[in-house]
Amino acid sequence: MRKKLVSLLMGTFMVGTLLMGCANGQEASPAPAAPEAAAETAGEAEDAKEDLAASDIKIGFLAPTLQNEFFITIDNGLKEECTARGWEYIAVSFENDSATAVSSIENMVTGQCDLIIAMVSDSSCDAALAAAQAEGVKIMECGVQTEVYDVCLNTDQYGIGKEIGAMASDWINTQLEGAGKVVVYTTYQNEDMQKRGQGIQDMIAELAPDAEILEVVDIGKDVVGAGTATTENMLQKYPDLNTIVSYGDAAAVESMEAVKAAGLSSDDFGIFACDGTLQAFEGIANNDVMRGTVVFAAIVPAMIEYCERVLQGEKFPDMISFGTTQVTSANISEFYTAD
Amino acid sequence: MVKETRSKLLKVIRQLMHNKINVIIFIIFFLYCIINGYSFYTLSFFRQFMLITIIAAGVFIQMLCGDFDLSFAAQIAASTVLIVLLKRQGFPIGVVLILILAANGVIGVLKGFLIGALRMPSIIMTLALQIIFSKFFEGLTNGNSIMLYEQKALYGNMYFGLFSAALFILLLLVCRFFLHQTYYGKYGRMIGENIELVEKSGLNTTAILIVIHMLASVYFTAAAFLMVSWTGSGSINMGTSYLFKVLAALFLGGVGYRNGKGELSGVIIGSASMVMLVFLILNSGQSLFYETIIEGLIILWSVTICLKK
Repeated sequence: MRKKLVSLLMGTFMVGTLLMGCANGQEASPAPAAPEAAAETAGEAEDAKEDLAASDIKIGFLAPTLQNEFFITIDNGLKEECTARGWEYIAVSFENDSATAVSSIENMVTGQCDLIIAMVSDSSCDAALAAAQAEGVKIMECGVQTEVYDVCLNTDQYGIGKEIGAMASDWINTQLEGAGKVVVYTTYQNEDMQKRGQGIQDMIAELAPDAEILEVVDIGKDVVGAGTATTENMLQKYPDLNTIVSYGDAAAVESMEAVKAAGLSSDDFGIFACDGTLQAFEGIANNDVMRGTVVFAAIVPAMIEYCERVLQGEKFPDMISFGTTQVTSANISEFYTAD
Repeated sequence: MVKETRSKLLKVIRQLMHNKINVIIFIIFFLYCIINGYSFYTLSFFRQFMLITIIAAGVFIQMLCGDFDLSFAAQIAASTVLIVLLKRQGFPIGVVLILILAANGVIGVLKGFLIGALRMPSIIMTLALQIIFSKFFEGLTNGNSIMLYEQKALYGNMYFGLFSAALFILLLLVCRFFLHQTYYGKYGRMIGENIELVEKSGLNTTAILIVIHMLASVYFTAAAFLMVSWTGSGSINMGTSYLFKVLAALFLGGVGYRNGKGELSGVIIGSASMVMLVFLILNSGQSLFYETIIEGLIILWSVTICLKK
């Protein structure tokens, strides 16, 4: 009897989905009114924005994980911005599983998303994204550039790496008189992060020539726990290790905790990374071993701005770059104040 | 005579009622496909449905003989890594598939032997295998995806879509044939109901379990092949999210927990329901964390019902 009830429940689900499917198959959500050309006057631009706000816009956000602060912050920010505009918003984490990412893209398209913000890790979802584009869905890629997008927000990853490396080199020369024993955390999972890691190494070699890069470690892309495990191993392997330079704050913050747990927290140990997460800021402000991070210009406002412009019909064949700022103890107060 | 007729009629009505829901679900499913026609919606639904059903069919065969396999997701993920690595070494795809089938076959033999001959609890044994597979290949690949750069992903390719559909139908027919037309299928159910009784009857339960697990591995290989073809990559994370999804699909479809009960039609319905469920959750604006919670509740509820019986 209970199994029949479960079957009945599932039947109800399917009826509901059929009705939704019928609606999806028969109607399209009203497309935002696209101006014939780029708006020439402020008044026309305002009209276009009002049209957009009046339309039923649905934004989908595809993140590799929603378990680290960087992506959680983006997710919360996008949710707020979409709510403020009366847009629908859904977020999905594909947990670094390309098969799940492909299914999620399909479900977003079937669910009538007008634009998908895809923070994918590589080109394994390109075919699915291309199919989504063929269905009229706009694709925004952020953080990685593949072949399929309507707008790509990224940055010069090699340049970012050089900024991280420059911060680390400056600290090594000042605090350690150049005697840095460095481990670099990078990932070969995607080309962009490889460039970042290479930029770190090149800059340290250039600005802190006396520092020794003990090892360059591939810690994976956005793998939760990788920073902790790798740092514990590195601390055992290299007892004189005093600098960790990571491609991202997630691993750096984990490393910070691992260093503190190992009792090695001191003024002569430094960790540098990128992303500008709250935990990284806290570490810098509290004079923990986290010494510096590179902050991107506000990501979410840029994402929303380009969402609007793409939905209004503008084309962006070239990558759009984010600006960056180095944050150390010298300027942390501009970015973070303890409550 | 009137009473006889009435009782027969009631029996027929009861049978119809029992199957009616299944029939309704199938009609709804096909209506959905017909209404949407050859469109992205239908194709994407079918694609997800095919993948879950193929994996679920493999796990179903194992569950019928009373084995609860927690390693299938890791086995599939490991297979995707191996497929890509072998392909990058220049092996033709036919050879790659044969090698992966052979590798998964060996794993099937291992599972059957450990459970049948050494009487290891299947949950513990497969949990250990899952850890071994995932950590070994994670170490091999540093947790990274490996791209098959020289071959474009076949997602959206019409001919590959037809091939996938044909493979899907073939695998279902093989499953049905195995369960209903072969002795191994029947013995498997008997083992699921009462393994001691089967042993006392003189049957070689180890051999039966080995065959069953080897057959299940064929389905896992097929699922890995499809995933690699659609994404053009392999990764130790690929398909790991299907672990609870598939188990929930099986329990939704009425497959019993360690009692040899269940039908292939239930597997198909359960898989279709899971695809619908994920779609509903995602597009109702709820976080997909709720999906995992619901999957857990389905598993908990179904196992409780089975154990109470």
